[in-house]
Amino acid sequence: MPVFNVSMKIIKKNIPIMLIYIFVFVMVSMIVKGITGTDDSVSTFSDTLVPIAVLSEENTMITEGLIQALSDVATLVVIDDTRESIQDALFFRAVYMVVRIPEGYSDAVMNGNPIPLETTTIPGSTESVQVTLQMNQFMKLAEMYRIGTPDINEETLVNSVLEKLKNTTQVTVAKANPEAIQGDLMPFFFNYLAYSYMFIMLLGVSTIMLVFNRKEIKWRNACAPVTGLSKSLQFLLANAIFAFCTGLLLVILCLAFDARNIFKPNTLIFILNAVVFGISVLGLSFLVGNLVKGREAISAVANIITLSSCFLSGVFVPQAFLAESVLRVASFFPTYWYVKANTLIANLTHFDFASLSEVLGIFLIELGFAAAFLAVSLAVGKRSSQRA
Amino acid sequence: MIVKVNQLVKRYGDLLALDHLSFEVKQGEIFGLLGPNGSGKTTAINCILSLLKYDKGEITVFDKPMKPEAYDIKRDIGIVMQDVAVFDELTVYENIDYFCGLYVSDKKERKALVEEAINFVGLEAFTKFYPKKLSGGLLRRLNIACGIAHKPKLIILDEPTVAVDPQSRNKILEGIVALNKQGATIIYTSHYMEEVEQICSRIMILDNGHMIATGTKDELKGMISLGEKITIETFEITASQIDAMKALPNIISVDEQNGVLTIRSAKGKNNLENVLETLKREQVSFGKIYSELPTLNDVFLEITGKALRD
Repeated sequence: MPVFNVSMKIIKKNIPIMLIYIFVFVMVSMIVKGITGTDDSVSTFSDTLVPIAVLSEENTMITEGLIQALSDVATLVVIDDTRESIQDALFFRAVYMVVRIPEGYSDAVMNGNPIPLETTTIPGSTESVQVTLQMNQFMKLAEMYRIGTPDINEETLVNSVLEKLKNTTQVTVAKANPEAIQGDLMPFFFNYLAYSYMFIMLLGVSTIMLVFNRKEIKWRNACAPVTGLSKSLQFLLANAIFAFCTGLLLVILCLAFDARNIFKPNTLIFILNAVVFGISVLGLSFLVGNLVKGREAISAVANIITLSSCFLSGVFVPQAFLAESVLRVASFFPTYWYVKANTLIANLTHFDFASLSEVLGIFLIELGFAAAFLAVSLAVGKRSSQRA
Repeated sequence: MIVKVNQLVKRYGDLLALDHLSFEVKQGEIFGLLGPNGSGKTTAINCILSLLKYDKGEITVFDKPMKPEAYDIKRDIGIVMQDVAVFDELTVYENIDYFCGLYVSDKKERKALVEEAINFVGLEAFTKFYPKKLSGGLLRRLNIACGIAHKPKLIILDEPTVAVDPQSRNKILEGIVALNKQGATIIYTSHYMEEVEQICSRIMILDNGHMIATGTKDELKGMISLGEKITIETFEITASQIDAMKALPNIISVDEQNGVLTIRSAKGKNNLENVLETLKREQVSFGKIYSELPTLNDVFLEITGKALRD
């Protein structure tokens, strides 16, 4: 199989250039893993104690009880009871709230006519909400015990309220779809695979085609007793092996970067999508190889096609952030459908036919692109042969 | 008959590249296609190889009609293209192995053939070189090795010595004769008449797609009236002395330029003797004197009215 052997030799000669793009893929993936891989999602809950100041104009069981209740949700800071020091404390965020307990507050509570507490907060601040809630809770419970127990004294009331306030709720952060959060990186790696895969394929296949499309070589080969079909099949086999090996390497890298998700069914479908995308890119590479006439132009053309289709299709920026008009243009590239399929695959939780039907439909579109590229490529090749 | 071309017509738009061209190549001969650039030599070769479609005519190779899908015929043809057809990405050895591999699938047999071809063209020291590292002459030798490695019965060489240094040219010409001696029939195209004259057993002269003459070199030279060309370097010569030369029998023309006298005479005996006697009688003092037989260029000149190198 001389055509096959020469094709493989040409690919081997271009491996150093292709490795640059594998290296870029690895580097970008590592950077993304470094940024995104650190789990910054909220997984635990702990109370935040907001600094507040309490200025009490009386010292009773009730005021002491209220201050104790507030100390459970806030850090009490001592400040001078002057207008200037209160303003300074708030301005410099030494405290987020100043609570003033007026004189006669305790009597008012015990009489069932509670007077509101005077509070001063930083405008627009939300940090003191929990303190406000705690104050309201204290007041409501006190009122409830007072009504429920008519002859209750201050000490019993305060103890009962404080006892009740000790009942706290255990907070655990529930993740709506923990697996989806864990799998966040996989779609990115597989999306980004499109860039490296497309460039390497365009570069490799175009280079081989350029060599075999040189008029002298083409004519010399035409003089040999080898059928056109045999030459085409050898050529196709070499390129298919090249596409497979490149795809395999990139998929292995994707899996290595997000190893914890390897055994999920989603991963298998990601890989299938990459295979289907590889076929469409192979078709595109044949077409470009037939159109590009100079060795110097290959790299430039490959870069233009790869970067433009990847930018428009949402490889670098999620499709959700792209304008409708941009996505409409992008839909003429297989990359758009590949990325779209990856997004769908990432959100798959069920793997029955109904759930997979949309993804399978996209696979067919990608294969349609491959067939179209191949047909146009054959037409262009035939036309250039006739011209020669 | 190895090759038979009958009434071949090939047009490129309005340009008639081959005008009812007919010729035959017999087994064991070195058949030369001689003509200036653009005379139709390469077009004729490309038609024979079915690389070009032609408008009219018939071509048979090994007594079978030649078609693009005639793979059994192609198996026995070796082609050395005018433009070097090798892969820049492959070494000398790999290139020869590739082209030989198009004809010979057996690896062991191919290895022996490739090595033989390398030795034949004298590229033993360059097997690991890439074509871009080779000189023009070595590159042409590689081109030849790629065309002959599979030991074809018919070898077509299309201007294989273009832009080649004299040493490589001699090596190539010697090789072609050796291949012929080994049993290969050869079609050799060139616009260098000396080469064709040196190695070809039969020659066809082409001009503007027409065959203007065909035969052995002696037959071709016999077709023209020029028998001898005498060149004399004189120190001084007068018009009357030139007229005395012109009056000699068989003389076709006498030209004088910068003291160099060129006398063209028709076929006949004693032409040089008569000239020498006249020089003595007319007391013309001269330095060197040469006598040349007609060349293929003279044949071309007499038939077409223009020099072959034009």
